[in-house]
Amino acid sequence: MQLFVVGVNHTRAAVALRERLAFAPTELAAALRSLRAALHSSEELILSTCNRVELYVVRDEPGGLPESDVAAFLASARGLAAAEIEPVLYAHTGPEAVRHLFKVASSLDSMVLGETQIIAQVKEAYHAAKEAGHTGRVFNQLFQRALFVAKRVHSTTAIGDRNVSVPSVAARLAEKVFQDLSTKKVLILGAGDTGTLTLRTFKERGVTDILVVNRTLAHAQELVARLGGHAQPLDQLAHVLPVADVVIACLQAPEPVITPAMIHAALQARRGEPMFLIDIAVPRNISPEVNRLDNVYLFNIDDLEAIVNQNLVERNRQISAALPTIEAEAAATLKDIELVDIEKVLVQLRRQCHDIGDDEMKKTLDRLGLAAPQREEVEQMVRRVLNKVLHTPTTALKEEAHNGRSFTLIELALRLFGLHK
Amino acid sequence: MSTIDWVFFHTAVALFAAATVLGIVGARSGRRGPVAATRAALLGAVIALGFMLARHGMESGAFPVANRFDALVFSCATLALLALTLDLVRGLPILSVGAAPFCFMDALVAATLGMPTAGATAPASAWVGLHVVATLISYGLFALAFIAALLYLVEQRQLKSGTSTSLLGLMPSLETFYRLLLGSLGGGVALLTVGLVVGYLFARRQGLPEGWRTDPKVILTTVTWVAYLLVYALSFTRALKGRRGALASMGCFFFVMTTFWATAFWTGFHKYV
Repeated sequence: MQLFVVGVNHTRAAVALRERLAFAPTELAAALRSLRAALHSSEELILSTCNRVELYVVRDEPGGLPESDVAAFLASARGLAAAEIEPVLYAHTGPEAVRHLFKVASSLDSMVLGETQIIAQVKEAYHAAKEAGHTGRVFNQLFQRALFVAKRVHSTTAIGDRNVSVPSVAARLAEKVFQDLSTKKVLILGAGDTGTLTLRTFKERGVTDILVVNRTLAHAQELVARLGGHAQPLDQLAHVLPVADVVIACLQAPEPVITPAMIHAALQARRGEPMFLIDIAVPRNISPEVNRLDNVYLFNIDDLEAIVNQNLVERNRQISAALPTIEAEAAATLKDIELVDIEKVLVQLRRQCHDIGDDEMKKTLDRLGLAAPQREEVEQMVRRVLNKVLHTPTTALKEEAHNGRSFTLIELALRLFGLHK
Repeated sequence: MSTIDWVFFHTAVALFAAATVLGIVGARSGRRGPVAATRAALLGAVIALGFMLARHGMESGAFPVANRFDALVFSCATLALLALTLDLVRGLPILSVGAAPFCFMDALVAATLGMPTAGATAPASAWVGLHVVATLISYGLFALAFIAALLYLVEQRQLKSGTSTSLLGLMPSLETFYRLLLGSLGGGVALLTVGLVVGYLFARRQGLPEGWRTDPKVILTTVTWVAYLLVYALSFTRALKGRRGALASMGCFFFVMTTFWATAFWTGFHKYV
């Protein structure tokens, strides 16, 4: 039995290639069948997220897994040229594959270190493979352990406590001002890429009341049509400002479009309710003097990037704290997987029974002095008896191992027949 | 102080000290372990003080808060219990962290004063019990409002300066602090109203000696009540919303401290043993 993981991730391949390699959930069952046929494997799992496409495979055949075979499979499955895929593939085998999976599940290998979405993605990939009948003893143990390790890493380290992208830091800071962002109105100034990303981030945080203000109204309307919210032209900014609890400014403008006078007027209209402003535009959209007003909190891109960098340093420190857990769990998992290799147990069991049968048969046949055809008949009868006797325990042991639920029966068989692990 | 009381009280002081240190470590590092240990230490201290006060009550057959030492002990136990409850119910660990040093200082003052050897001076009456409990719990709520206001100002300063520290990581939102501040002020004003009304009715019915109306404690408590009522009402308006409201409520706590210490330095029938 050999475990392999082959794939591409955000460090090896650009998003243009990753999105073409990605498998939709509805495609997984068919892809797993093709993978089994292509690689002659016994267990298969495909982990496809926006940051990675990884194929996890267990093969009973000895020898390695050529990356060219995987590249050929991916090429044919996704309609790409193998030459385009092979250079960016990475592969891990055995213990290294286990460690890699544990790091992936714990988000130590993620673009945004410490993010928790990957745990759900690993779980979904495992369930998809299990439902399609592509997991067995190894994957049932390995992936359940990977999910356990991920939760343990998150609960015993502070890896998930800090945000490391500008929009996520912006949203986190807004949560430092307001108790429940979902009840607040967010105004996004600018409908470009940053505005889109920010809108997505705030929507993920449960914000539903979003207003996009842009110089070109059509762009704002196109954005809200895609992602939700309302659109307003830039000349309406002063009128809509008082209703906004959070303002994120990312507009291309040569000088500030939000002045202290505008915010002062907005505060008057809001009866002193606080406002949270984030200026991620360069040049700045919001005059820095605004921060001097009471109940107004202004952050600019430098403030946010300083926090992002500070959080990255802290998270990298947390990786070192998580590694011993991963090492220990990987070693324990490998021991468990190696502990009871059912095929080895069955081969040993059959060999032992047939050796006993052959010995006893030889002694008996020597005593009886039978002719060759009779000897052959007796030999076949003994083998048939042994095979019939062994059929039920063999089936039960295989089933037990395939389910991966409990190894009690296997342990019992080892003890009853005096076999070695 | 009996040996068992001495053990209960000093265990509580040690636990408040431990909670203070662990709270600082937890706030600085943002680690969950020290914060959980802070909660455990505070809970242990509350239990120890609760046992001590319960023993006093059972031994004397009267309401156990009968002197300044007991009042200090009751106040810090109330504050710790309020902070712990809000922490656990609303998920606000910073409250336990913030309350620990106040409780420790309060307990240290009580330890310095020591338990008086003379018996209780407060009349054994359910009305007096209600008056004392309502007033002392209102002080606990005002202390909580003080902590919420202080933390609000710290967080506001950090946000204004554009910095993010591990302390900020443990902090809830400014809005949460402000709601907590208003809730504590509202609860404190309501309970102090109950304490004042019950005390007034008791004084009228029992025919206390002439001049009780001009007792420093009565006057200062009334001033405190008026000050908090004003701040509470104005906190909903633009004039005192946010930072100014937090500063005003912190200023009002000066009256609470003065009221509390009036019993120690000014004569009157409220003077504790």
